[in-house]
Amino acid sequence: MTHLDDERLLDAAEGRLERSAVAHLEACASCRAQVSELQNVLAQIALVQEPAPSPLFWEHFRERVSAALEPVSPRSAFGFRWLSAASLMLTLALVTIAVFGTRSRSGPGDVPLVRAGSPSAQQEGVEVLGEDQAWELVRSLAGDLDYDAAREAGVAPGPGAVERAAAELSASEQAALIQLLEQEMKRTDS
Amino acid sequence: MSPFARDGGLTRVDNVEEAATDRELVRAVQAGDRAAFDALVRRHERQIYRLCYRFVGTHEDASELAQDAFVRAYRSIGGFKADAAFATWLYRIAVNVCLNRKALKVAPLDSLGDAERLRSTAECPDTALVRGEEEARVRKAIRQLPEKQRATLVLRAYHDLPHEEIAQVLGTTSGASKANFFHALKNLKRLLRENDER
Repeated sequence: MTHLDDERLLDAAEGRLERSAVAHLEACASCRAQVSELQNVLAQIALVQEPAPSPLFWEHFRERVSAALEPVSPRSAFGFRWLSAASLMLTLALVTIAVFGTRSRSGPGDVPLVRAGSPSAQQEGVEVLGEDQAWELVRSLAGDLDYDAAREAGVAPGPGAVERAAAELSASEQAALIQLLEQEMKRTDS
Repeated sequence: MSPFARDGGLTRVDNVEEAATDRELVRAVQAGDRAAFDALVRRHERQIYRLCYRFVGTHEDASELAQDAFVRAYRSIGGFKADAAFATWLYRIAVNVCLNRKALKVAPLDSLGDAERLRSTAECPDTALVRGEEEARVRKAIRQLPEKQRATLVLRAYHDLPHEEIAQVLGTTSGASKANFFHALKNLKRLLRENDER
């Protein structure tokens, strides 16, 4: 005898069991016992009442919401996307600079970051940011990733993380970060 | 002037507000009409408050969380796309606000002012006491559930949302929602028993 699976047991407890499974339930004491257990729990849950605030509460509630909205303005769809993109780019820029900054301080094989196309980029042995595959990978991944998705994936920074990271950058790293942000802002404005 | 604005509390534009769909109100908000958002608040405040109450169990916290949910909704409404219902989107914000809430205040209901006091019932005091203890017992057990199970249980048992909509709210699948609900009920039974044995 094939017993009802979890989904059907739930359906039965909620009174939504399909007809084809009802016959089994009527014949199977074990399944009936499980359904009864679920129904008991549902009944206990239903006992928990919720308050019924007075109309005055709702008036005050709306006033509080309204007052809380005063300094807030809804971000336009464009502004929302820009802010999300800028936040994400800033995060990725800081992470990348931290990584490359570490590498650049790691020893004789120093690889200073330079902008692609700059005169110093023409020098032999100097790594160019724009040609770095890891950076390009980060950029391509970030391009279509919105802030909420990154946050859910655990990529987005926690509170204060960006500020702390920025405070630990060297002067050259901060200058590089400023350049990246300016480029991003120009790109988004255009 | 916004067609959704209220003038000194008078409901001179109730017909306009009632006739407007959520989508129309959202579009108006996105176009800069603040009164349209007030109309959305009026329309959804009770459901959001109820949802928050089911999560936290106290009136004060539920009120604060519901307010927070609406502020967050207003802040991010510019990015709201109409691929889901506004109510579903709002539920999602409220659930996240509740789940992310850290230290919760546990204020007695008596902290409400007289003017806001809850409507009283004609219940016998002894019955009310027993019922109150039973409710506290169940609420405590619900709060002990894992987050996804707790959220699914609240949305299904108290808001009667179909699993497809719960899946949209929680960012999961309909099948996962059903599984979460099943396991929530099983775990709740176990927690009630364990708490009673302590």
